[in-house]
Amino acid sequence: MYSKKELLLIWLDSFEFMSGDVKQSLFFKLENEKDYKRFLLENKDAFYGVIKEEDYNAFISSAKKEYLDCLLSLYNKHGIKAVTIESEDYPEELKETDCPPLVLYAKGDLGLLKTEKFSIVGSRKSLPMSINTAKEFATSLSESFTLITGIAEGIDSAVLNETLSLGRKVISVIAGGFFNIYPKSNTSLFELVSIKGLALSENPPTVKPKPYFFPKRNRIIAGLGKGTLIVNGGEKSGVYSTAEYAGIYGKDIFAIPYGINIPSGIAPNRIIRDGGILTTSPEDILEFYGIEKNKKETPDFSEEEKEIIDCIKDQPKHVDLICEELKKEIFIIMPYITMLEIKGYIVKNGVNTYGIAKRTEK
Amino acid sequence: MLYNQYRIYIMFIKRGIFVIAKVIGYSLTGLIGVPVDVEVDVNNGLPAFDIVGLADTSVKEAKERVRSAIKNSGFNVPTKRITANFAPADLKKEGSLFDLPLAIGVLIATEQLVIDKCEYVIIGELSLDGTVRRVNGVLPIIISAIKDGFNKFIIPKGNEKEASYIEGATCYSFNTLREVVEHLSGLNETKPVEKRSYNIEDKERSYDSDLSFIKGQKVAKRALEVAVSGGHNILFVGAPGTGKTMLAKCIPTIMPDMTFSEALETTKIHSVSGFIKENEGIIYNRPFRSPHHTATTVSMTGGGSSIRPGEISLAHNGVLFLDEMPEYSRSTLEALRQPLEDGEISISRASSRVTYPANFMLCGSMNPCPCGNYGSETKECRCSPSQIAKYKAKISGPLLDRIDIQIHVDEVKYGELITDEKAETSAEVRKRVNRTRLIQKERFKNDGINTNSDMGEKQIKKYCKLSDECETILKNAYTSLGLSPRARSRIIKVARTIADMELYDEIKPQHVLEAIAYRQT
Ligand SMILES: [Zn+2]
Repeated sequence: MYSKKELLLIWLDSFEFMSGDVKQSLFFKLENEKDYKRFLLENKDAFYGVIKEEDYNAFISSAKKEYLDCLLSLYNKHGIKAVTIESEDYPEELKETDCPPLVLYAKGDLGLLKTEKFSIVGSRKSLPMSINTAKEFATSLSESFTLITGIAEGIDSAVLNETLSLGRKVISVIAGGFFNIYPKSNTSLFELVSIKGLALSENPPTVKPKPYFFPKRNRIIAGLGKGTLIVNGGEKSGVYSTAEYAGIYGKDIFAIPYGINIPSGIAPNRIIRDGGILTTSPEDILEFYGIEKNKKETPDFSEEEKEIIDCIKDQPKHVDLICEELKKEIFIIMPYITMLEIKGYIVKNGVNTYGIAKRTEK
Repeated sequence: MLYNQYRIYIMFIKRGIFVIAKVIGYSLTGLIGVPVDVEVDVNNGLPAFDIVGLADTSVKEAKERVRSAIKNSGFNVPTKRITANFAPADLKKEGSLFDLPLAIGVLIATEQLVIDKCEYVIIGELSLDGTVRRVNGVLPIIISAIKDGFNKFIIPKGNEKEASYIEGATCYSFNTLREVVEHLSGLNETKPVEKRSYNIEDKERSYDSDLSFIKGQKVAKRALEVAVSGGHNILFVGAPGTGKTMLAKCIPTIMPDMTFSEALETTKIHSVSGFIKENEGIIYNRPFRSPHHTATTVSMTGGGSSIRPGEISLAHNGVLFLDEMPEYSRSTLEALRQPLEDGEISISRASSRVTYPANFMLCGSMNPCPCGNYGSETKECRCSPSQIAKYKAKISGPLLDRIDIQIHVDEVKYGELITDEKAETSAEVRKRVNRTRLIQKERFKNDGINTNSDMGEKQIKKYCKLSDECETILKNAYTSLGLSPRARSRIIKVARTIADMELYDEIKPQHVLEAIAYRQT
């Protein structure tokens, strides 16, 4: 059950027109009052210029039990839990940040907030190799951490899908309210996360996402994780803001290096230059935290599979080149390549180009 | 008058000094020829030249050409009332191929040509100076006319080659109206057109493209062979400039040789459309049609005021190549579904309904995304995921279901590195394709289909039994590669073809694995 203070927070937080600061100061003023409405009416002048007249009127008229009941039953109906900053469930990590959300709306397993967490972020538009990288890191890091990411296409989706398919834990922090998932196409992915993992938002479910929500949301992603991995990002990518918050909060920042001509590699390269930790494999991160990886038994490859793996282990190669080097016809090679791809030992890194999946490496 | 000494009339009724002449012409409905009696009567009365019997404007224009052609051939058109009737009256007639029968009819009716019996089917257009010009559709007309019991034909010289392949037809070809008249009157008889036999070893079979011209592209070349071997439709995905068109143009070169009846069918369609060149005769090469993406649905499927065959019929027994497939209008693409299913297309117009064959292999190409760079290792894609999804969705699911093989084509950068590659020629590949097609023909002899791609669920069950090992591979592929369940039958059909290529009765794991590599992604 919610305490009186929590109810006050939930009520205040339902007003989209008030900024976090206004809500915060109202909370401090009201937390020891008995009759909110009377207090608000008496101090009407304090609101002058802070919120609009009509907003103020709406605010005053909603200061009653029915409004709150309605709100709570709506949240309840959709399985949404309002975790206020006064709650025991509220993540400690966020309280240490400069402007923690007063209420976190959550759907899914709240227990995940108490686990060790790590954030992975990247771009919506991603090269296939970046998607593969994200998946490899998600696979490996999800053994030791609950992963945190957003809900966008590209890297976010890759991390969510990969982790969920392995049955491991993941938290998705969403910019808008739960009723307005952006992009819409990821609504079903959101539903999956809220069943198998945890979805979080600092906005009440009805709030529509606005562009400025996204950098603000990134502070939660950065704040929750023990560290943050930047997979990719272009010139003006949102990952800068995540990295910046992570820096301010004293978190560890990891980034994947790229060649200088790859536009989606600009952000991670710049972050490395500015002090991010250059990261080429999940082991770099695990070692950094002193986590030892359980040794994988060497997979049982056939003679031909071994040949192909040896051929591409140093760098991804085009199928034509693999055929040339192994002196084999394409129809001999193709079945083995598909088999290795199904088993997950190799990945497609581009059009007809295959490389070793990171997790295969010793 | 010059020919008056031949005074034996059979096809006329005496009435005064003039006769009613009856000459046989032919009209075309789709690819079917229908006999048309051209009757001409000349009367005293106000001078006029009338044509009756559901003739469209193109036929009515004939009278001016006929009048001039007769005059300029040294005959005369009497200043009398000339009436021409085209029967049956309920059949709509169009085109200029009635000029010659009409002229002959006028000459008979005015007793400038006196003949025993006109047992010829006469086809031809006239120019003002009396030259007989080549017309479209001679081949299908002759084939229909033979079925109707005719065997002698008078045709334009320019059509002689396409007529020369038909068994049972005696064709006489002429350059001028005067020659026709001299032949009919017996004054100067012309020899019939020499017969030719259909010989696929003919040097006439030639393509501009050949697989050996393409360097590298091993995956694409292999996939092409698989596709053609099993009659599978194929989609190339790749950035502009990756040689998708070049690959597509190689498809006809590795398709099995056309049988005579296939060649005849294809030639018929091209004959009706006027695409047969004078020296071509019969079409040996499998057609390769690549309509532009601005093509209208009508030009694709056929139709219009004269119900002409569309691109899909012109591609009959060959390849329909749709470059940049998502750029075609939705309705144009949707119109392909039925013909892909049935191998033919029915077009109805107010008065008639025509069926044209349209059994073609579909080859499509598309960019991986609107900007073309998606999936490239070096170039950045500027498209948002939703833009890409929207682009791909332009080709509807049901149409994609008819495309068994999809491959990615990339820049030919390794081609140059490979020096000692002994590239196979199309002819060598075609030999293997012929063999694989024979295996399928034998297998499906009681199923009414020809290739693996035609298999329905029933045949898949019967001819594509999968071992447990193969089933496991498929199951793992669903989860780890994210295959859609719809892909299953496509993959199995392609695996069947690969097994046939390797002469295996049973589908082995390597065949399933290779088929998975050519799946839609
Ligand atoms: Zn693009």
